Order: sequence, then C-alpha cells, then structure tokens
Amino acid sequence: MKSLLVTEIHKLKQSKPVIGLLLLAFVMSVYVIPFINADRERGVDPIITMREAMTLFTVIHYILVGIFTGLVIGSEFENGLIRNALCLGKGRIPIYLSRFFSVSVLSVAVFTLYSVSKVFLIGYAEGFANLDWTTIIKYWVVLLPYYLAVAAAFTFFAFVARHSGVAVTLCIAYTILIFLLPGPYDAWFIPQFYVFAYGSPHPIFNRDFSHLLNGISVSAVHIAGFIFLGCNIFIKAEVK
Amino acid sequence: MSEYILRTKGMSKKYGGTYALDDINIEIKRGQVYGLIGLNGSGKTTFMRGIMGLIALNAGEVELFGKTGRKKLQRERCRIGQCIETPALHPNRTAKQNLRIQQLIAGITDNTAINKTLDMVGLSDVAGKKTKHFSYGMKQRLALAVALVTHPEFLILDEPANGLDPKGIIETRNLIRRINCEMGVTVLVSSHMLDELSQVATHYGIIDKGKIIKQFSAEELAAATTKRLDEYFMDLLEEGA
Repeated sequence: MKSLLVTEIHKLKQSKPVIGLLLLAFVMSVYVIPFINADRERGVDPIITMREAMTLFTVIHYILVGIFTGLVIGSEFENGLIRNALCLGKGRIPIYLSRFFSVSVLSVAVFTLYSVSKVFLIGYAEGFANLDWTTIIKYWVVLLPYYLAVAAAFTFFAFVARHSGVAVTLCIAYTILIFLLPGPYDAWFIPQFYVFAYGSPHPIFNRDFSHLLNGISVSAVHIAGFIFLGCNIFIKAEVK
Repeated sequence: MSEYILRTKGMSKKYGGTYALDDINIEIKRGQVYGLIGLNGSGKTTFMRGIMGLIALNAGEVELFGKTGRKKLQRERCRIGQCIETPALHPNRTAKQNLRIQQLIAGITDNTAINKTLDMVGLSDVAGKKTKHFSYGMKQRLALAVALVTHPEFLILDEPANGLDPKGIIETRNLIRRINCEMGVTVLVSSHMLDELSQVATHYGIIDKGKIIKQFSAEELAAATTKRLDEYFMDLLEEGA
C-alpha cells in the first residue's frame, strides 16, 4: 500500500493537468472578490452573491475533478496500467484506495487553494484583523468529509466504467443529478454556501448547526458506501 | 527454492459456453525459455492473464515459485515481469518516467537500473521523449523495459516481436537470450514468429482451442523430426483437427 501511495504522490507532482486545476482554483477565487466588494459598496446583501459564487465554484470544482478522475483512472484501465500494478502483486483493494487517495488529495487541494486564496484576498482588501481565523479553520475541517465524498463518488465511477469517456460522462451526470435532487443533498449542500463569506459564516449558519452535522453524516455514508461498492466491483472485475 | 517457476493444474476458463482454457497443465522449470504456440484466439493470452490473476479461473490451480493460494500467489507475482497484450505505458510521460513509476509501484527506491534497462532495449537516446510520440515498435521495447526494470525472476512475454522491424526482432531475440543466459531469468513467451521462437525457446507448448495438445523440449523436437517448427506445428494442428 505504501509503495502505491508513494507512486500516486509522484504522479500527482509530475502531472500538468493538476497544476492547471490548481491555477484555475486560484483564478476563480480572484474572480469572485470584485463581485462581493461591488455588492458591499452598493449596500446589497453580499451573501447572496457569495452563495451563488460558492455554488458556481462547487459545480465547476465537481466537473473539473470529475473530468480529471475519469480521464486519469479511465485511461489507466485503457492503457493497461492497472494491469501493471496488479501484475506486480498489488492487491485490488490497495490499488482502489490509492486511486481514491489521489483523487481526494486533488479534490481537497483545489478546494483549499480556492478558499485560502479567497480569504487572503479579502483580508488584503479589508484588513486581516477583521478575519475570524478560528472559524475559517473550523469550517475548512468540517468541509473535508464533503470533498472526500466527492472523491469517493468519482473514484467509484471511474472504476466501474474502466473507460475514460464513460467515466467522465458518469461523473458529470452525477454532478448534474445531485444539484437537482432534493432530500439529504439539500442538507449536504447548504452549509458550504455560507462558509468563508467575509471570513466568517452567515448568522443563519450559526442558528442551524444541524445542517453541518447532516452534511458530515451524508458525506461519511457516501464515502463508506462508494468505497465498499467500488472495491467489491473491482475485486470481481476482469482486467485487460 | 522450488525447481518449478510455474505449474498449472487443470486450469480452466469459460466465457459463456465456450472454454477459453480447458484443463491446462503446464510446468516450467527455472532457467527454461518456454515458447507457447497457438493460432489467434487459441488461449495464449488468456492463459497468461490467468497466471497473473487478471481473470478469475473457473477451475484449476496456479503455482508460482512453489506457492499456491490467492494471498501467496499475489505476493509471488512481484517476482514476475510481464508484457501481455498491448504495451502498458503512460502516454504523457517520458520513457524514463514510465520506468520510474513501475519501480515505485514495486517499492524500488534505487533508480540506477533505469538507464541500464533503457540501454538494454535500445531506447537510451529517447529516454526523455514522451511515449505518445513513440512508434509501436518503440512502445513494445519500452514495455519490455518496464517488465525488466523491477529485476524479475520470471518474464511473461506475449508476442514481444509484434510491430518490430527486422532489426528490432533480432535485438529482442538477443535480449531474451541474454536475459535468460546471463541473468538467469525464466521466460514464458508466445509468438507467431515460429522461426524466431525456435532460436530462443528451450521448451514448447502447443495450444489449440484452449487445450494444450503437445509439449516438448527443443532436443525432443530435434530428435523427433527434421521439420522446421512451423511445419511441425501445422502437422500437429492437422492431427488434432
């Protein structure tokens, strides 16, 4: 398992698409700032804009990480690279988990870079003293399971499809589906809209803390479910 | 240390109602170059994939380096290098990076073998080139390097001369000889180029419709007939039919 994780880190470090994704996350954070400041100057409630911005970021984040996951893992199957690892005596579960690790690192890195750069840009414009650092760190930690759940879902689709085109389609379809679906997903998505707005959460967020717990529970179920299903399907799969 | 590198007993694989492998019993001893001969779709690649655990067998047993059982086999597979079907390479990475990744998966930290291996397969001058720009023959050679860079004791090669030019074919043949004689690596190789195969193989197995119809050594072949290997192979197929 250790050697597989080392390999995945090595591959991520050398990957140009990963650098591209991280740059994009930074650009997106810069893009959001003028909207918030403009709204503030006009006296418009900027939370609405931030909410929209966060939704936009989440959708783009999903799609980009989904495309990356689908292309990378899907092409690993198509190019016989999973076969190489299996033929070196690596177990199927460690191989699955190492890919999940890789996608998780990327997903969390994109989110973190976006969030950190946005907070710093706001701090630079309005003064760092106004930022509530404890809250920022607290909510970053709280949102980790959410982004790991995204990684778990995309890894699952890539291992089920075993084809880059099909995997990318499944990841995008999943993104569209969860943004349209009602039910637990509402609870799952609501918290993120209020995080990092001016560096501190909106008062609504504080009043209804259950949203956060819901989000964490749904994320945990997603992670466990997708990993369990994905590993079981991969164990039985014939690898070309 | 087991005398046998590979032993299969009653190995069978069925797709739908058709047997891709039907009761395969093969023994490969340390130091041998075992040539697996068969027509397209006869089961050569399926057999290799079965050994490597890429497909689930319907029946039978595989023994590698004297070990059986799923967990033990999985552990022993790190002693094997393989090049089955198409060359398995990262297209957007260089030849060197491809070898490094294979080493890392195998848990090898020392990367000094990379240049040596590339030199061995004649790709040292394109070490920094991305493999997506390689010709099929170059990819074949690099796949062979990927198989060798982890210092295997047993090498499984599926049609290694496919896509190679005449020079490449001769170099691959010489390389297999060298790997076998100088490094003591046991080789299982399938090929349609029987003339080439006859220059490296010490033992042969003829597979047809998923069944091994004959196994013999190079000495036995020489003693039994004056025919060339391809002629002998066709005779055996006709007898079988």
